[in-house]
Amino acid sequence: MAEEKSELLQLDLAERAVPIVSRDRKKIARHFFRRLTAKDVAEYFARRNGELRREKQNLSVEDGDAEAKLHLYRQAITRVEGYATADGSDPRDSKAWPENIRSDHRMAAIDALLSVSRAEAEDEFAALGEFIEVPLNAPWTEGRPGEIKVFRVVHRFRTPTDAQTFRCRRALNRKIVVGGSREGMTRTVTPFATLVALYDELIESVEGYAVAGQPLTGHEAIVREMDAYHKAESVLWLFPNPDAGAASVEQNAA
Amino acid sequence: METIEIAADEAGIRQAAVELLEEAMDAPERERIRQHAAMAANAERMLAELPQRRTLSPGYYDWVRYLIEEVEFRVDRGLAASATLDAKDVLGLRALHKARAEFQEKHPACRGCGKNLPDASARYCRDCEHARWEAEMRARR
Repeated sequence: MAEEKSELLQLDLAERAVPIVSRDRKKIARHFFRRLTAKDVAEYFARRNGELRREKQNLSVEDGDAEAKLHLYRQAITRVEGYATADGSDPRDSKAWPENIRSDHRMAAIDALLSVSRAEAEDEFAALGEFIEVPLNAPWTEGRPGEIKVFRVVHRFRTPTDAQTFRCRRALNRKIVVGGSREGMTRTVTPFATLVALYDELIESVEGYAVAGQPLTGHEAIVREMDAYHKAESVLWLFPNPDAGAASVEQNAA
Repeated sequence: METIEIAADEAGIRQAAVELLEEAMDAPERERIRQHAAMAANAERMLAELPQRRTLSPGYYDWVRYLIEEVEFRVDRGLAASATLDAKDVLGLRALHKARAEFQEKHPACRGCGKNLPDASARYCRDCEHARWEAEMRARR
């Protein structure tokens, strides 16, 4: 993946292209997605939540991650290039669209869209300022043929209050039980709405994003235009898991 | 189908916390059985017979851990003001408090070493009972 430093990530691209390159690197197929909405991302978070059930001494875990990705693909894919049909027609004309595209390719395309990761600080010796900076490496759309362009972007937040920290940690740990407290299945509850709300409350400024060709500035515009997945991924870094070793049930029993 | 919000189920949280405390109390015994099982021919059966304390859906135990490791830890150490907690955190802390009281009642401390006793009617743990017996024997000699 190529990393872009100077160019801005265009949030309002009409289409995002994700290339899938064959193993021998001779063929490139492309998946084109419309702009992801907050609803798309909310559904993705809701569907990927896992289920836990006790079975005798073992825990069975059902992870909804793959289903969530395939659902997001179905919602946001607009077209593909490089996939051949027997009669030469557009794969979208098939009744099976988009399931007529290999599921591992669909998954890989969504993985590429969602593989936002924490970037290194540009200067690790820089004194911390008034705000908390969260730099991210964000893959966005195809740059050079066969390569998805990765942008370095920065989200600058105000320091969360204790109440906001508890709100976030509570949302990340929230679960429900379906079918009774003993035999029932534990389901995690999506923290997405809380994460987005906290992002909107805490964001001060961003770097590296553009809308309509202009750098994205101003609280109102950031809240309105920012990619919902980037909101959730960036704000999470403000609320790290506290040191679990610091207190434990075992210590409490002693 | 019945849906339960774990954070609002005070009785469930209390029970899960008691079971976790009992599990922690059992830990040395469980470890002893595990070590024996490692060398035993009937290892599977021995491991299957390890004492099981948990009776609730897994999410209850996760929530108790969250309450202890995140909420209670931060408040007790002054890292966060208790005024910032919401009603569910307060309910959870209350359930933990009740669970500890219930655990102490069911498993009072050994009068010798202070370890929690599996049986509420006992006064000393096995080790202390043995040490007392040896001391008594020595005194008689």
